[in-house]
Amino acid sequence: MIQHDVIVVGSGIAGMRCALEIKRNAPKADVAIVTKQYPVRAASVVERTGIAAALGNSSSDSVEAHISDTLAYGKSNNAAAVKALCEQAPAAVYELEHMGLPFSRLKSGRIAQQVGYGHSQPRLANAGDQTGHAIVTTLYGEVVRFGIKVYPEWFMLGLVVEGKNVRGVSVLDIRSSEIEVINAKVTVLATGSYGQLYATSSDSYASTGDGHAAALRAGINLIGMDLVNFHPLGVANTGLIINEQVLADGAHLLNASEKRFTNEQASLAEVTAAVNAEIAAGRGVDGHVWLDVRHLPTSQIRERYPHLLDYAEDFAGVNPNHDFIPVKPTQQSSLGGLPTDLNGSVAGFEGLYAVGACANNGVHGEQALPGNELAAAVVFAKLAGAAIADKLGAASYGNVPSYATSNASDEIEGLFGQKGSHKLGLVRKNLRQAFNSQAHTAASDEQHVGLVHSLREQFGQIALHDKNRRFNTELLEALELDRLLDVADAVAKASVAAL
Amino acid sequence: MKVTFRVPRFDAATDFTAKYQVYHVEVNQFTTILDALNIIKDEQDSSLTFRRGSQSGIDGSCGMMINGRNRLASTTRVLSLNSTEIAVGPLPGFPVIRDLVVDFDSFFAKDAVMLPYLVTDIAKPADGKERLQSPKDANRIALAASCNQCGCCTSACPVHWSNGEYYGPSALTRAYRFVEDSRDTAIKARLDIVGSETGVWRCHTVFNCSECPKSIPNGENIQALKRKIMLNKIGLGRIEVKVARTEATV
Ligand SMILES: Cc1cc2nc3c(=O)[nH]c(=O)nc-3n(C[C@H](O)[C@H](O)[C@H](O)COP(=O)(O)OP(=O)(O)OC[C@H]3O[C@@H](n4cnc5c(N)ncnc54)[C@H](O)[C@@H]3O)c2cc1C
Ligand code: SF4
Ligand code: SF4
Ligand code: FES
Repeated sequence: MIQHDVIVVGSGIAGMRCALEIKRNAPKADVAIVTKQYPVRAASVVERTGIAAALGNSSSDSVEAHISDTLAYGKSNNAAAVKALCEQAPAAVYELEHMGLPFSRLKSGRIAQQVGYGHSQPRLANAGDQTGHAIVTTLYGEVVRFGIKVYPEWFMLGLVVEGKNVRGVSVLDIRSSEIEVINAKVTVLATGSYGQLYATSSDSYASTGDGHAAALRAGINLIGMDLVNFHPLGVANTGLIINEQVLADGAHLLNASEKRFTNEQASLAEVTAAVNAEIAAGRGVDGHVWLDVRHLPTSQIRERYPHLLDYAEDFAGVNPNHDFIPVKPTQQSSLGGLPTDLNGSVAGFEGLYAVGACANNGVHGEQALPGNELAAAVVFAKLAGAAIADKLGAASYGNVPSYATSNASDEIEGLFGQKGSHKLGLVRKNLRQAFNSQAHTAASDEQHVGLVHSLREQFGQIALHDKNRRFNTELLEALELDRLLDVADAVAKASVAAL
Repeated sequence: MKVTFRVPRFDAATDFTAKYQVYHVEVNQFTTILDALNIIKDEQDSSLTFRRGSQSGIDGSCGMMINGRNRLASTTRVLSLNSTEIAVGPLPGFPVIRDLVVDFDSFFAKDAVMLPYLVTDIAKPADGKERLQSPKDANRIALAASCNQCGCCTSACPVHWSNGEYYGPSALTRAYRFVEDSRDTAIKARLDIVGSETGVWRCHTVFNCSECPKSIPNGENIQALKRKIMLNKIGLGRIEVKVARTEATV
């Protein structure tokens, strides 16, 4: 058995920022990170818009303006969380700069502030259009500097819980399929989102809601699971997103007869609905509509959202100066998660914290203002890190029940031994296609509950064909699908309850 | 359109040589190599082993050799290769764990040697705000900083093949990114690292490492590091350091 004072699960922006804050506040603390990928490959890197912070570098922006934009966009936000976020975002961004983050700059030498959808002021601090990537890379550098131990390509199977005490996690070493239990005084879940529940999603393949499922299995009720945002500009076959600012800047959406069919300046939700309706009415082209940016200056595209040029070429094989780009609605972000206070602590459980996209403290309300998710991942991970460092002196390892190991190995051996004729790929495909439909109606949500139930039964009859114990990605996909099914059940039930 | 994929199957624990396997996949104009591999895994052979992540070329999970060149599977459309026969293989020069999955541990260990974090004796501004940097200086490091650590470059480097200790272009570009950062003052320490036995002098400027999906000019970055080391040797290094400081405090 491995022991660390703190085990952080996940090496995205939230997990690494939290680990670093613990080390800063309690330099002697033994903090380690487990991640099912290499640390620099977390889903956070996909973010391309920027991190929201009222630095006021290019306008007389204020924390108050950031607060009111956030409340207007999210509608039902937790006001205290919003206040903490907007007040602390500037310091959090300056800290990233002090760590060396390669921010884009204004002529004054200050951090640039891009205009952003839903923001009344230019407020997005960015590193070109690779802000998520720059934050991850910078934090990873700090993880190296502080010598924080990382276990790459280890899959967290579940929480080790005794009563209401969390004692660590059980993990699978992907390279050997061996099981380990990591005993810790404090466990932090930073496992990201559940975008993979949706057939068309902008999210990483790794976003399978593993932390959410671990919480459900430990008896924790998740909140806000039905709060999933969609976006109209998913490119070609992928679900990757072209920055919505292009619509505000005057790009057009066209149907099969090359006619505009909606007001592109309307809210993202309205534009998404209009695109869906157009495709459903048979006026799309192979499940897409066209995005037309031919009339926008290339210099502006290069300046504001250069990924548009890459995406058009890489994924659609078109040149946006001359051709239309095929787009369709895609899942953008998932807001449901473990209920936490502003310090990331999970009520009712001793020794458990959650930060980043797998946590929900109500800061975003119904939809996240662009750039606020990154800001929240950093700000609340910091708060959690400081709170954990404070408590660590009084915390103890506690007892690790023997069933922690046996439960984990039962799960793995059970999967290897399972017999049946259902196919993993097909069960997953059916699940993801069912949830892809965003039309929430009482009937469809009830249907989802039933569908998840029957897919769960099918999952019990999947046989793994790959019996090799080394780097078995079929096993990995089965573990992920198993967890995604639990998440799907929670999403479906939350949707029914919300209607 | 039907396309043929030829993939070496290999498990380091049990095999001496790879066995090649052929798969046929129906693709359209949007299908990427990663999509095709997913189709094979879902529908034909669930034991085919590869990594995947962001689906967008930005996390570096899916570097592999595709029709003779190192590329990212997620950003390579099948039809852009103008061939109905596709050979996919693991990145050469790294130990293969299984099929298309290679071991990156030594790759990341070399990255860590470069001090991949800001080291500076320029004080933080008293008001707690950002250090200043001109847009020009920010642009100098932006491209090098966009490296996704996919390993395509290091894997393509013939020197790295014959000498596994060589830091390789990716790690050296990491050093370059900090050496060129107007906020960083550990120029000497990093030049000592990259100028060591296993560093830049091993590079024969073959420029294979220009096979970078991010278009990072690794070979040129390495040349720039060599020039800086030479400047340091003849005593001009201190000027370098000074320039960096004044630019950052403007
Ligand atoms: C396409 C896209 C666009 C976005 N755009 C914006 C935007 O414009 N503005 C904004 O503010 N935010 C945006 N976001 C959201 C923002 O990027 C995320 O909220 C934030 O990065 C989440 O960080 P995280 O650290 O919580 O999770 P992640 O970065 O997802 O990290 C999760 C980590 O957990 C690990 N992990 C997961 N499961 C396990 C397991 N079982 N065992 C071990 N490790 C595990 C993963 O490997 C990974 O390291 C976007 C997100 C996406 C995907
Ligand atoms: S320099 Fe380019 S090829 Fe090399 S690791 Fe970085 S992104 Fe990949
Ligand atoms: S230029 Fe140098 S680093 Fe690049 S491939 Fe050639 S020898 Fe290797
Ligand atoms: S899947 Fe992330 S780079 Fe290819």
